[in-house]
Amino acid sequence: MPDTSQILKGLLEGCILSTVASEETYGYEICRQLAAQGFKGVSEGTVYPILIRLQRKGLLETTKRDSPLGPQRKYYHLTGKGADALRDFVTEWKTVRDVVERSVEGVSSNGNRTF
Amino acid sequence: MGTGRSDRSTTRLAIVALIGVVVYMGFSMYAAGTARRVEFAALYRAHILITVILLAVCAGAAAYLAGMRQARRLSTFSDEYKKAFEQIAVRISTSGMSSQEKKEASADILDILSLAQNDGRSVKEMLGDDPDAFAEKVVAAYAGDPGPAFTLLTSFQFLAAGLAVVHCAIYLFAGRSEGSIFSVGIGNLTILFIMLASLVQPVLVRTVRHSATRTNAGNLLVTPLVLMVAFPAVVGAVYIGVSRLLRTWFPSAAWARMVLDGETNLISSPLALIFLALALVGAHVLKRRLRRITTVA
Repeated sequence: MPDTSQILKGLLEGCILSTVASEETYGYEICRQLAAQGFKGVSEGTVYPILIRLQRKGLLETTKRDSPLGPQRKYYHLTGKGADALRDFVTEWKTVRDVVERSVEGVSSNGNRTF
Repeated sequence: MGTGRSDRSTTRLAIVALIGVVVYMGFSMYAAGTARRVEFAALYRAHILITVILLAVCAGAAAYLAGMRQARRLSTFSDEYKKAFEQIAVRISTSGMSSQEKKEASADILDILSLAQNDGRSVKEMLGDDPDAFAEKVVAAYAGDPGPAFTLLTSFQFLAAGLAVVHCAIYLFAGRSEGSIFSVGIGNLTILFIMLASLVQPVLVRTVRHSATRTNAGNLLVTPLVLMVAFPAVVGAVYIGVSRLLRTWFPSAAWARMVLDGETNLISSPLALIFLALALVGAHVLKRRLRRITTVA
């Protein structure tokens, strides 16, 4: 199986914004959802620093709520700026995807191009 | 669910108590400074002593409660998780992050680790091979690593804040009326050593941070304790040594007399306070600038 983790990590910021856009949620749950979407090699160690950066850029905001485990838990939601960034990401991703699809069109799984 | 609420109640109570004690202390200081009769002044001085003791007790109790809360949370952790959290916590606490950010990051990481442990996952699965690398990423995301200049500016701020407190005391006790009940004077040599000690702070912070690395995690408790005991002892010994040597080698040199017996002229005026306040603000601005430069975009 090819190692797709490096490609996926590059797209992680956009996918985190997309996950948060669908519902207000907390860091650990975001990781669970990303894993369920196929980000297998992405752990909390990678996601948490990205969440901090997105928050500092003003793309995410947080609300604190009581958690059953004791300390208050931070719930993330998208800001207006974050929604704009997500829209840009989706547009850029679609462009990149189309370019890559055209580029690899006709390449078989053994690496040979078929005409 | 109640822990978060009780934490907030304790914090609110502590703030109210602290404000009460500080107001009482301020009143006592003012009254002592303006007292016309010596016996009243002695009484007010006793009040000040009581408030200082109260403040120390409050600080001790707050530290104890915070430690208890942390210990309660950590008691549910396995050794693996506890060790990982302590490593991360030391790196965060010795970083250039603000105290609010440090608190926030520690609480977040505690929460994430608690959830992961409940799910039966290993630390390696969560944070990879190296919790230090994770801590570095968190620090970089928050503040970058502004380096020794940042720590030095923090030392400078502590120094300026300390001098501002001394100035306030002088202004209240000596500057308001003649025949003050307090005599204030700080030797030049003492000031010199306080400044040198503050310059050494970046090295101490680095040492504590290094003690938390994976390879020598056993030093996590020992190194800070040794520094807390050894550092003041060494500074004290050098202080005494320097003063004795100066007295022996340069018994009549004017500059040696000035260093040994001269008192730094702490002008008890609002102007000095304004100067110190400006110095504090200046250091703060520089620190923010450093943080902006080093924060990972």
